[in-house]
Amino acid sequence: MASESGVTPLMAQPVTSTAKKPPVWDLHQRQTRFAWMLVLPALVMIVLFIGYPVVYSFLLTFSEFSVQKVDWFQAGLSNYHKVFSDRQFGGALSFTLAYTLFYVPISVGLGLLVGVLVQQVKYGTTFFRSLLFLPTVIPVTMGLLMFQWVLEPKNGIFNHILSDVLGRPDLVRNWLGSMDNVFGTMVMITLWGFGPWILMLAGLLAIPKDYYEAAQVDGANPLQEFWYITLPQMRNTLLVVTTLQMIKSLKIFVPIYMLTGGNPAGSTRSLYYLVFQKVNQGQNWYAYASTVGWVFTAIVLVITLITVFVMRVRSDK
Amino acid sequence: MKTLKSILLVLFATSLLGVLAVVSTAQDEMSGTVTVSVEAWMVEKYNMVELEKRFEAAHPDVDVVVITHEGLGANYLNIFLEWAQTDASTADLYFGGLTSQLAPAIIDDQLIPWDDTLTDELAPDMWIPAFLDSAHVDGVEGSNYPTLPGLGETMNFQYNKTLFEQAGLLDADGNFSAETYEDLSKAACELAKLEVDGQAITGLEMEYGINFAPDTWMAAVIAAEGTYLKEDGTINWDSAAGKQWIEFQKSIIDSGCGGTSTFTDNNGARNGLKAGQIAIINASNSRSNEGSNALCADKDAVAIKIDPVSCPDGDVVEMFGYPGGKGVMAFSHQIYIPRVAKNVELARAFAREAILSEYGQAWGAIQFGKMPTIWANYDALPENVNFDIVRAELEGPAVGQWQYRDGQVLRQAYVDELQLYLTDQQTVDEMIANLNAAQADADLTLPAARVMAQ
Repeated sequence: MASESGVTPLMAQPVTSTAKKPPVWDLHQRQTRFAWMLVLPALVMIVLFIGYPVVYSFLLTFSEFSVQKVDWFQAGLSNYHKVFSDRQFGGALSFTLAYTLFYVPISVGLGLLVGVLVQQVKYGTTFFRSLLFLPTVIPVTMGLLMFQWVLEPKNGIFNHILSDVLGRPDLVRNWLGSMDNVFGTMVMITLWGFGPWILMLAGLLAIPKDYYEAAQVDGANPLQEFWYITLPQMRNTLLVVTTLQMIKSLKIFVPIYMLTGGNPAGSTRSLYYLVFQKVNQGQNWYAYASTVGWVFTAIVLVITLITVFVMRVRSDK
Repeated sequence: MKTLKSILLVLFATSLLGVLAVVSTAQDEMSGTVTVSVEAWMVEKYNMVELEKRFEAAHPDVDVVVITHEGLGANYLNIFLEWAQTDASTADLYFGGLTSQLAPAIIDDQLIPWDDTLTDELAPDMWIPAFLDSAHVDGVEGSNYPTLPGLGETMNFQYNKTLFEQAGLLDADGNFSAETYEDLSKAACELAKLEVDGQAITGLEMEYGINFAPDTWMAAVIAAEGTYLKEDGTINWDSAAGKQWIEFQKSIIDSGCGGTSTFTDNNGARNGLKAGQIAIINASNSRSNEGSNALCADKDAVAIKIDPVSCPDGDVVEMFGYPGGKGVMAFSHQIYIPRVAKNVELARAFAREAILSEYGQAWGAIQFGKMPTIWANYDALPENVNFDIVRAELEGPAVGQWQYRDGQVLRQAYVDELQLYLTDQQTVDEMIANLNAAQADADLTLPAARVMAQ
């Protein structure tokens, strides 16, 4: 209705299509844009330093590489054919799978056992828990060099203890240089250096003590407590640890590089180490080495997916 | 008159100043920074710190930066890639790398030739042919030397004289040599009966790893047959001497008279020699100096210093050659300048005045047995039995390592097949067949399609 001056107040004016709309503040859009701004630098780094090399190496598997140029897609599937007919690839695959088959269950089982034992300790808890951190604190290469000296056949302290302290010279071995012993030795060394001690202990300490107290009131013995409380409560931790240990064992490289060079007789050559050796051979072999790497990646992916699937099915049961 | 005298004085002073300016410019024309990259172990064993100091003292306007690179095949390939793909190099001068490792860079013409540098004290006839020949590449005149040998080695056997004396194996002159592999086998088994400080001695530890296994095969075949190559330039894996060598290695292991530490530890043999626990090893000649210095009773005498001396009581570790005597395997670490280097002239000057100097080469020889590659520097060495032995070897026929583009493939193949044989996983004939198959698949391109000199 018109005012006494004859001017219709602004608010009383009818809204038409030509009238100016007031600005709309969309908080969600602003937040999204801001989030992208924060993520963008990391994304660029990932694309440049991970994405680009990954795509490049994959395309290389179908190509021929030399220092001067790359003949893209000229090799077709010949690199893959070479890989699958390579005796060294077969040997490396066998070792990698065998090592994984032994290392994962032993490391998970032993990690759980050690964690349970350390959890039970009433005196010197800090000391025993800090022992579990020791392998993580010592640099990997230093630890491995230490083992090289400890296990040296003539001068190593391990054989000295066996022969001179325990009086059992018949037990003295060439632990890293003999076909009969090197596999077991590598498993033991990597258990020490790469075992899941801390993760397991953390998972065990996260189980509420009330469950155990209630079980004790109900008259459960330690084995029953372990079977009905510890294991179910550790389900997710065990899944994570098993998956991580599996990936770690499939990718084993540093202990081999430091201790055996893939020997004796190629018996400790893993797939990862094979890639390294092929790259070492010459630039003509870069495309082949990429192919070994991608075949290996596919194998790791399949094994990991199967493991996760099986463990989830079991835990759902 | 006074005016004339003044004019003459001014003219004289001006001329004098002009001469002084020309002279000083000529003396200090070198300036700038030169980056020298060496294999990490060479910093100590070639006294790079002292060489750097001496070069900078001689050229006050030059700054020398010494960096290191790893001596692995893969690392050299990375270096060559860097040059090719970035048109730049981290260093102006590189020292370290065998001709077998540098073959890809030579084949791809990535190195500046040294031909016009080979003058005066570096003229071709001043070099030890066993080393210089392996750096020679057939091809366009003026591009025949893409690398120069900086320090040299020969392959032979090194033995601990003290242990040999205890076993009663030295001859009337107080030395040992093996005419046949049977002689060597008997000696190894006698030595394996010794015990020192309650520890059993290893009679003979040979090389079964990537470091030297192929080189010991080459050396054995050269000693017996004069060369390891066929007429077409490929490797003669079917050589009778080569088969005999491989079977000899197996017999030493199977008899318990030899060790297998080098299956997994490239330094197993040299460390055992230095510890006095291995009587004979089969490696490069420098291991003898290294062993002697480690076992020398007078440790202070042989402690590393600017002016080194040998063990005063004589060498504890000496050498003998392979049975056969038809030649020796000689190899050397090379000096080279990439085409994309920034300071080529400074790099050349450092090579000439520092690395190839009498001080540099003699120091490396006396302290670590790394032999000079120039006769004049060899002549500067003090009297020493091991130097005499190597000299005699170098004055005879010599063959270097193979230099195919896929040379590293064949080295790895040899180690793999050898260890499979030595661990009873295949026969020697299967081993040789597999090596021939590996060679058939390998890229055997040589630098400038050159055939190894025989």
